[in-house]
Amino acid sequence: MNNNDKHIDYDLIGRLFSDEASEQDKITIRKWLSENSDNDAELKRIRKIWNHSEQLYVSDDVKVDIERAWMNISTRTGIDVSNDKDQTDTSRSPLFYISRIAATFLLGAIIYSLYFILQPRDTMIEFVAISEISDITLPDGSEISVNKTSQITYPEKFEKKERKVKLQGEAFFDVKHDEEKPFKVVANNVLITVLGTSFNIRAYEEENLVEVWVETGKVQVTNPKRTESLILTDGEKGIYNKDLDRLEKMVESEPNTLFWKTKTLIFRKTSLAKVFNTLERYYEVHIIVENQKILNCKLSGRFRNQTVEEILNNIANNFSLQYRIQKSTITLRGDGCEVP
Amino acid sequence: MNSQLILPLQNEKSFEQLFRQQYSKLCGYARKYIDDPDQSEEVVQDVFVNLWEKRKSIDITSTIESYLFRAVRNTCLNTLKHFKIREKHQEGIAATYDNSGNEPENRILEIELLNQIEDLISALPPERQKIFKMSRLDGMKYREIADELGISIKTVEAQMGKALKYLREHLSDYLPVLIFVWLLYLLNSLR
Repeated sequence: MNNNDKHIDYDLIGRLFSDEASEQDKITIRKWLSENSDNDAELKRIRKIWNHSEQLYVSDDVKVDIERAWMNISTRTGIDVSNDKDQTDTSRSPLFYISRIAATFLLGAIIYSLYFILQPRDTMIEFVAISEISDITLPDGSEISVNKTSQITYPEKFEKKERKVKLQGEAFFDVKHDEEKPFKVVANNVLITVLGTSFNIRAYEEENLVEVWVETGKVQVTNPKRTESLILTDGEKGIYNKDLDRLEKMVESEPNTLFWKTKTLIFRKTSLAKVFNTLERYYEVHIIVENQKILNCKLSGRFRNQTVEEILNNIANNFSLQYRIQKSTITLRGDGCEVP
Repeated sequence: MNSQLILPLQNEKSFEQLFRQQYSKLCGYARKYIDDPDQSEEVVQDVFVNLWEKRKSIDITSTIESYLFRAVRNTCLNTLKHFKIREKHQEGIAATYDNSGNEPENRILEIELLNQIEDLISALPPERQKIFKMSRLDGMKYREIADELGISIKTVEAQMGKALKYLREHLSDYLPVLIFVWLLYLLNSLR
């Protein structure tokens, strides 16, 4: 006899899991948990069995083309739908016709009720931020800022097991913590799983990268084939490359990921080479330098709500440069800086 | 061969009806384990084709519904195992990104755990099994179960406790393995 066995009151645990526990039961459980740190692990193990036993025959309906599926089955099994007609001709029993009519009604009733069962679950809300950044609150209280031209698809009511949303484009998520129901985002087929945290996803269909940047908490990123995954924590960035089917963690910190939301760029002794990369990306401009030495200059500063011209003015003044803007192309001239 | 076939398998019409009733639900179930919608539908279709072809020899001890769920689960299991073998072949190429196989591994274990739980539940004494199923599968409260069976709540409580104890004790060899694999998976992802 294991000494531990004596201390486990399964009736009590059954009541707890079935929501039948009294206040006294809860006190007893709390006391039992505090007695020994193993007890907590034990309770979790029993909880796992408990939860699994419910899932044996439970699933959510999904949208399927049942006619096409039945065609497949009848082809493969040789069940011929036209066989049915022959049977009708040979059968004289009125009961047969009655049962046939009844079956038709029954089938109609099933389809009709399936329609209603499927309806509320399948109600997906498509939230599109067309010309400006928009904030939404999901049914579970999670908050999302959706960038321009981006779209979030989510169910009116989340499923029992998970909170799943779909993203096209870029969005910042502040997810409500709920250990029982992981929050999942599918973005360009990449799967991002979290419990509760804040993070940014950039997944434009036309770009070959899906980028996930974590502000706080822990996030798992899984490739479309679901064969590889990465765990990201505070300040880390994970990149999935669609062309190479490769997941990578970026070591370099990226303070400007949320520029689209905060309209703030921060540079700390950042080389102009990198600064220009950032400007090209966020302002959608093309920057050309006439003298490569310009790229060596190091910029520090914080730019909030500034136009690209204002930022360039600042850079030009700082490093004695001249610039010219033609449509979206910017050309810089000047002596630049020596490599330190 | 001469044994009476259960109702949905007696003729083509009733088989079709069974298919139409269960198909989308079973596809939803398969999707828990196989992400690809087409592939998960294929799994369910395979199960139905197999059921029809073997209808005369299949021995269905429980309900047709639980038979279908289990068959779908096991067909998913085989598909997942197949994925894993295929990945092994590709491992050489992706040696530097060697996180592969974890996700299917977890799902395989989950299915195996579900099968074990199902077996253990069906090994419970009939009364206890009935009470446990009413609570876990039908979601009934203790009071409702007691009323329906004409027994006291205390009896329901005791039967539930015993069922839970039985499951926990008989799965005890298995759970540490599951937790160990899960830990490996975490470590691997953190690397």
